[in-house]
Amino acid sequence: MIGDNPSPTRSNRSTGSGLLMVARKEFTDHLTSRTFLLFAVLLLVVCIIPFQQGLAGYHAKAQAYAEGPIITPWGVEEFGSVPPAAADVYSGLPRAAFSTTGAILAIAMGFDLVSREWQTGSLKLLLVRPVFRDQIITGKALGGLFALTTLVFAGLAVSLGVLLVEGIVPDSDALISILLFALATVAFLAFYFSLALTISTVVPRTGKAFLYALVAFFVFTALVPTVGVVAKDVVVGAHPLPGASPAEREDYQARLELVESVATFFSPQWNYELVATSALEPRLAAYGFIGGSAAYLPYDVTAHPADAFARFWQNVLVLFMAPLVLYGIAFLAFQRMDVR
Amino acid sequence: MSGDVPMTIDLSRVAIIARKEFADHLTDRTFLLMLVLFGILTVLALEQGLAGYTRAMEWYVTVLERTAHSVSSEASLLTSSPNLPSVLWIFLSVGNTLLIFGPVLAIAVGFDLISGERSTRSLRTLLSRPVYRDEVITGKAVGGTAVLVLASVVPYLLALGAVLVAGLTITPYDAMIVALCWGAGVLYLLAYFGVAVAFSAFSEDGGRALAWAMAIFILFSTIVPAVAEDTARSAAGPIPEWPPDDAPPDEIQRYLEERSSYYATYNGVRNTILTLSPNGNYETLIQMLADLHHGGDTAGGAVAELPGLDEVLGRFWQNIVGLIAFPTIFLAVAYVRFMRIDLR
Repeated sequence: MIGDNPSPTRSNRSTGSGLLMVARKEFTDHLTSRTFLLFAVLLLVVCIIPFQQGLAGYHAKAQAYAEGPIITPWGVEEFGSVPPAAADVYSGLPRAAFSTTGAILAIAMGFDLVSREWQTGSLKLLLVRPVFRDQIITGKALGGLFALTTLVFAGLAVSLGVLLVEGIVPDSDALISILLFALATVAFLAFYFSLALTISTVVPRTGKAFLYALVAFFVFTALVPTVGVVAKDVVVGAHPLPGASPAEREDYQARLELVESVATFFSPQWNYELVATSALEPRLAAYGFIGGSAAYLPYDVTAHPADAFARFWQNVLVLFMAPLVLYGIAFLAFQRMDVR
Repeated sequence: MSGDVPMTIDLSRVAIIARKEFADHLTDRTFLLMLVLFGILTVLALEQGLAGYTRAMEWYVTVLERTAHSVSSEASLLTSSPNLPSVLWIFLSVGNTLLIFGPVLAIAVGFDLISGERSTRSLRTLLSRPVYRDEVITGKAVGGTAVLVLASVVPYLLALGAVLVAGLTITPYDAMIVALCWGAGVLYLLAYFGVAVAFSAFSEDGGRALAWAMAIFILFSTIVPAVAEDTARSAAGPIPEWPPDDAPPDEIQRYLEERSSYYATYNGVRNTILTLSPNGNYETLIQMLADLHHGGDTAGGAVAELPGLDEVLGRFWQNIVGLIAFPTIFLAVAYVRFMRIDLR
């Protein structure tokens, strides 16, 4: 290759380096952007109180365990008979406050990636350079994904440091749980990032792009759950009375589970909360948002971190595939974009 | 015309700008889309509110029947708090939708007010016309406010329609409470409108202004309440211990006093911190207006006479002042910034 004419011919080498160049530039742009830093700080602040409560819960559980199990007429109390797991500290995090802030952070990162280049006219300049369109959009997506991953893992490193300072040493199972939780978080943030990226390629003005992304966010977070609650009333009907037959009760339960799973499927926040909770608590057997219920396996059953993931594999699949699908749409839209 | 008197604001020019701004928003597809989404959310909330009202009414009737049939003392436990379900509940379910979705609507109206004209360079053209800067910003703010007032009426109209269709009646007292709720809602929307306009004046790009306004929204909707609760809990100290069953009466009396002082400290600290946030103020006001129906006391039970409005409003004056001060400050910042903006 030495001595080659540096003309923009398509070779494998130039494809890779162009992609990496765009990705690296996007990555540094994100990390030095004031908006990104502002939202990162907000996200950190949102995490502090649930994390603190998680730590207090851990210490309470550890003390109860040290005092020995409590035996009541109904059997052995679970609280106090199992040692606390380091992953429990994180269990307060995947709730609405955290996921809302995270989603808006991801939208704020993605909403102007293409529309700003379009608005300021730099897209035309960019496209006359020897980089291909697919490299630009893929590079932008990868750069954002790296930035999100960096953010999540930086937070994770800090939180692990706090755990060690508090004298909590996570064992290997807990570490895997926490890692899976972090991956689920990245996937959730990547969903809203790709959503914003897609809207940014379709809507040419930055402000409008952000608004459309917000509308989509509200459809997912406010409309879907409310429709789910209404659907529960309409489809499932009233709770069977105490004297109902077992068949009736089973029927009710089956319909409730159907509505729950459909609503969870279409609500990224619920889906994330479910997957993240199952990563942190492998004994999770069922988690209902509309009914507000959670069921766990008995505490003497040993469960490994990936077990709950396997139980909720559909939700895991949706959580990790949805960003890819959205990225595919953004890719197609960008390829066909008319730049004049 | 008034070109001879350059120091006074010409209200007709302000009105022209306001009318144009109003029409622009109402024909904007994004705004209409959000309004439709808002309407759908309201209708769903109304459905829930109506269902809850019906259930509560059935329960009320059951309790009344049971009292009529039995004179025994065991029934008195049930009937000690026969709260007549209120039509207000239905209207309040609308207020909750406004709490979450309203700010986004207000920010959507405000974020492009100045930055939009700046990024499309139409602001220079506008200012080269015979119109003063303060007239432009005042007109735009008035137009945006009018849009928000209109948008905030929509859910209450929907609620009124639902209540009338369901065949329920509204007493004048209820109507007054609903009107106050609506007023609080307008102020709440104006608060976020002010935030958005202020950022719009500082940012050259609408998207950035929107992002920063959303950051403020997150700050006040999730972080401030959590901090308020945490601070209040640590300020109030530990919850007093429940006395043992065979405790002497004065011990129980002491417990009750401790408990009431605990909750007084807790609520006081919490409310003081929440006064800083429009969300907190709005929520407190709505809650207060809802409690008015039960005689200003959530405990129910004793059928107290309805307290005078001035008395209750006096108790929550901090929240009202906070809710008025917040938009005023941000709109003033936007005004000053716009007057000094360097357009090149």
